[in-house]
Amino acid sequence: MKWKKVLSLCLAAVTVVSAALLTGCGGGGASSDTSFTMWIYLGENAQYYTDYADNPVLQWMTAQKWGEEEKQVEFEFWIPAAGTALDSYSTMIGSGSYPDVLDCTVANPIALYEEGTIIDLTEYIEQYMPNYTAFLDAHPELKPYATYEVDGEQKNLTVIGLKDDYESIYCGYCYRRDWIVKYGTNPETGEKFTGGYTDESDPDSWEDDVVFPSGGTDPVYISDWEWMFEIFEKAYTDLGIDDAYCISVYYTGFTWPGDLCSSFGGGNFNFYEDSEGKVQLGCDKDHARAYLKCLNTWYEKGWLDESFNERTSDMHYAIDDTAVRQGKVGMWMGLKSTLGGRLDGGDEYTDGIFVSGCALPINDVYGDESCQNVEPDCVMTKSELKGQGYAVTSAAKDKDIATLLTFIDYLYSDEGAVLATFGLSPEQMEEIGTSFYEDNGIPNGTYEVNEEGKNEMVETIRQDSGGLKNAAVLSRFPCLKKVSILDEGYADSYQHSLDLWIQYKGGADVWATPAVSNLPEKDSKVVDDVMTKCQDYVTINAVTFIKGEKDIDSDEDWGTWCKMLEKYNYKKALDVLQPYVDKYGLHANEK
Amino acid sequence: MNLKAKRKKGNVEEGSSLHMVEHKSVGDHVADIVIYVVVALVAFACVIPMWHVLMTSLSDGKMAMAYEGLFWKWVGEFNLGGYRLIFQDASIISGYANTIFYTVSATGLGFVIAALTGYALSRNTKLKSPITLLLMSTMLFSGGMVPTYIVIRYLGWVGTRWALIVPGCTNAMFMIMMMNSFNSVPHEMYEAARIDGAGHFRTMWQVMLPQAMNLGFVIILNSVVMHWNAWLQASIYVPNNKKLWPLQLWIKQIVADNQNFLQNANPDYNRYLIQYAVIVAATLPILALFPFFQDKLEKGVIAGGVKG
Amino acid sequence: MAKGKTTTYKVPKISWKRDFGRNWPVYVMLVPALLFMIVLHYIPMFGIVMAFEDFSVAKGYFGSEWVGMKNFIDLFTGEQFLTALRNTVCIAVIKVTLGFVPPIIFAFLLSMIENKRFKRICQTMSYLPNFVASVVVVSLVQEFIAKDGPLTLLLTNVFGLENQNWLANENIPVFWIIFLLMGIWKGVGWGSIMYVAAISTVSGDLHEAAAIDGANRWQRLFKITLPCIMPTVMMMFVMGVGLSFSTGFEDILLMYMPSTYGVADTVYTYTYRMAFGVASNYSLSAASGLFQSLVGTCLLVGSNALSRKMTDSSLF
Repeated sequence: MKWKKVLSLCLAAVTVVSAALLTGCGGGGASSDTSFTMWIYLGENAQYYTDYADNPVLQWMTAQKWGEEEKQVEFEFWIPAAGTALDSYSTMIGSGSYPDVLDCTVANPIALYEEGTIIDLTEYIEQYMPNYTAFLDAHPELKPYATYEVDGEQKNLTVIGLKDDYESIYCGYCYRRDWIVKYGTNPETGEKFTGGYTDESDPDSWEDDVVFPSGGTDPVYISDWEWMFEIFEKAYTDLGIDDAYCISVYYTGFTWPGDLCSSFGGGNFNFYEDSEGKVQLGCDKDHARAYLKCLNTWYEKGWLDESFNERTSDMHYAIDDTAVRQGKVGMWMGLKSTLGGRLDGGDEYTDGIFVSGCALPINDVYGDESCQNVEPDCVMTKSELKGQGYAVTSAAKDKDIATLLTFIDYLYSDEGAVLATFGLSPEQMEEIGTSFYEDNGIPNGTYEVNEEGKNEMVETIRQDSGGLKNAAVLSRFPCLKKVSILDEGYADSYQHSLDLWIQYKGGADVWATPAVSNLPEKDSKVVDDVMTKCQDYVTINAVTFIKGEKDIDSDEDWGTWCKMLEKYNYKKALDVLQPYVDKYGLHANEK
Repeated sequence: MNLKAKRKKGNVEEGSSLHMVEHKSVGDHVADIVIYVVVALVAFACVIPMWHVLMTSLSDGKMAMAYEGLFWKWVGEFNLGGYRLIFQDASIISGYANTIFYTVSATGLGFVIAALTGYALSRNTKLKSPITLLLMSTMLFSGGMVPTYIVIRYLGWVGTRWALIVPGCTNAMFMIMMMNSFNSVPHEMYEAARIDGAGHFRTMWQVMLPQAMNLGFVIILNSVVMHWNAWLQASIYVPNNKKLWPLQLWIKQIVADNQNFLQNANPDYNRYLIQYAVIVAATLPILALFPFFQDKLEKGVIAGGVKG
Repeated sequence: MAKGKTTTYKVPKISWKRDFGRNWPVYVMLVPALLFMIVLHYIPMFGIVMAFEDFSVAKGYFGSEWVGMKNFIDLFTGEQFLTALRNTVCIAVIKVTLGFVPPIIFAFLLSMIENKRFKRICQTMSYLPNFVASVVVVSLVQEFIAKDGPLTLLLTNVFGLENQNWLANENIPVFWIIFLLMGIWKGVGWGSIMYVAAISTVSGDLHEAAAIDGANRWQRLFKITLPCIMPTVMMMFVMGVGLSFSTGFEDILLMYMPSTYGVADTVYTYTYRMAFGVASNYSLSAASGLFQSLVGTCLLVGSNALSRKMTDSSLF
């Protein structure tokens, strides 16, 4: 009887192997008082290493001796598998199996402190982290991010990652500058533009004499954008692209944190701080109406991607990636890998392509005066000076927290910050005998010091998408990043685009300020609740305004929209938020 | 052994005898053709998207990304780049080994539990209905992930292979299906065995189970596929011990690691193929099992085997 | 009488003592399953208390504030809840009626094919979609019925329907049909395995005898095969009905868009948006899950009773 054999085999296999494999690693308790378990939200690309303790910078650090007692510090990392970080966090906290050190990406430190899960680090930091304290003292604007208000006292519940300058980001608005040259004319003289590549093999060697209606060589205003769209239309006619559109926007037509919307007088769809320091809900304000009016106009003129609200599946910000890569789109929210001539695939429409980055525009066309000529102040893809916070939990109560913090503090010293930002120097590699850099094609480390005394990234790192760049330095650990001495070594036109992307720093989006991180759990529930409901309503209905199913100019339609939003009682959330915004918002220091 | 011989004989007879008595009319032939065509169409419809996935995984990355429509053949040069990227890391091989181990042991253990329960529920006892309902309620109600985690941690299974084998090894659905398959065994067989003096365990193991086995294979097949595709439990219970990771968790990791490849200044377009190649890499091995199971399923069991 | 048919034995009225005395080995057999279920399913069910709490991860199951029915009230009074409920009911009904039959028909068709090799190849091919992750299935669906997608073009050219992105169609019942067809495509082959196996247990003798009596294949199909596999069909039906309301809606998260919420939003997706939109509200999600489970239980018990009444076979 064959089936029986199969069954018996299965059974035998189960018994034998399970007996053999009963041993596991269990909770894995660290033995000495300077071995710590640490949960981090995200690990590095598995191609480089899966255990974060294999990070070369950490390996060098853990090989040194720390503190007065000259102890070595060890870490055992808990890293959730890709896409399961939230589950991992809630099982960990919910079941009470805490690590010693906790990455606070998804945590609410105040709530955790009130429950006794994490401990107050204020005294430890004063005593053992002089470099960290000194840096924060020198940058008081970052201080609110580093502390939390508990019972009226400012406490250091976390150690946060810091940067000493803004780093360039990897995405922003891109447009086909080659089309402007080919089909556009100088707005003043009416002459044709000239320009092109000086070196066909270099995708960044572009030169042209393009001038925008606002007078500069880069688009600044909405009117500049619309001038470009008219040129793109000429290009479509000439090239015979009939399924083209000028601009691709995010799925559902707007983004909650702001971005293009804040070009219309500042503010976003969400909670933001207005110029007087009052917190507001954006979606029923004039700027939101002007934004929707603008998109509605673009939609009607055929400039806007007509299926913008149907792109539920595309990768990367849900823009129409395929059409962008085929060279059919004039303007889009894109990655830095699409800049320059990099999209030239030798096919019909990408031949001779040159993509340039631009900053968010400033409205000078739509809405009333209050919506015009104001710099965008809620920027979604922005560069920040503060990084992730890390807390120490009650599991580490009996461990040597002083030595741990001494260890971490080194990474905020000049020397340590360079180490964390750029990875090991060849001497340090030799010291611990790591072959990580050599194995990954950067035997001399990630940088070379150039004539200006800055650390210039080597070619391999410059071309990298972040995998190797992050793996070779210290990216998932509290430290100071010395961005000020970093020279990314990009070509001028490329660097110019990156600079434009971070031209506006934003900061009015309440969600990105310490006002929200300082909310006690009870208050934050009120805000979350309102936000969830408004978000759902707005997501469903914004499309109808953009597509013209409801008339944005009609006070009746707009009135219904505003009334519905009021029904969600957002005033209550504003009342909750206002005191925190007064204290920690953009205008807090002016009061 | 007697039973088996009879069953075989019965099978042969079934095939041939029907032909002898049946004279096909024109209508029957037309119906035959219609049936063949319909079945072929269904099979075809099922296979096209998989073909699409296979061909995409063998295409040139950059061209595949830009290509719109169905991939009847690979686009551009034949390219194994996607597969090379997946298998460059030896860890995925350990993923295969782990998955096979989990699948075999969990299916084995689960089937034993399901078979015992199925038999017990198919008997005439007073607690039959309440217990069935009790078991079925676990299909509908769940306390969620964290409470289960707390229980499993209490059992000391967190971070061990046990957490990946025992908790998911069987479920109420399998037990009910097994009950149904025991129910479909003619009552005479059970009575005959009991009259012969066989106890419940012997009756179940030697008489009833062979008869119920072809629905049993359906359960085994379902269980094998379920465990083959499982990754969630591993991500909760053994996230830190990569040596215990099953294949699907590695696959998830690899796909996630390569999602942002377009941010590279010079993207390696083979990375676009990974999401397709992993489907092929994960599906092919288990497809090899099908002929074996089909054999089992088709042979069938002659329900009247006990007569005579 | 068909020999393969199961008879539901009436439980004779015997005392508990006699029942245990006679059936104790049977109860022993249930021990592993009961242990399994109690430890791994029933004990963790304490987590359901979350539905009645203002749950906070940091405070835990027994430390969070008790709020009674508040989460349920929040759920039921939501703006979109009634639409979502209607859609859930409609999709569930379509699923257990139209979606239930194709695997059975496919199994019948397979059983009538005499060419073994052909049958096997077709069967194996039909299993394939079951192995494709739902994310991929959804993206294939999106691709095929997008504007100018292969299937859309077919519909336009052959049936003269407007060329459009069918997933963006807001009219009833377009989305429901798409969702149903997607489920059928994914499950027809795999779902038929159960019935193929059941059909193979039908005695050849019965067919033979019927054929001699002059019954044609359709008569044999309806008079012999169908009654024989009826217990299996009813079992799948009862379980299908029980689970129809509470499971299988995850894919919609990837398929719907704000403009089609009116037809595609279900209790599951609506809760997902409300509970995990801005911050995680585990309580609301648990309350919704409990609501769906309760409805599911009613459906299960109801369909079981229906099955007992109509076909004399039932699960419990």
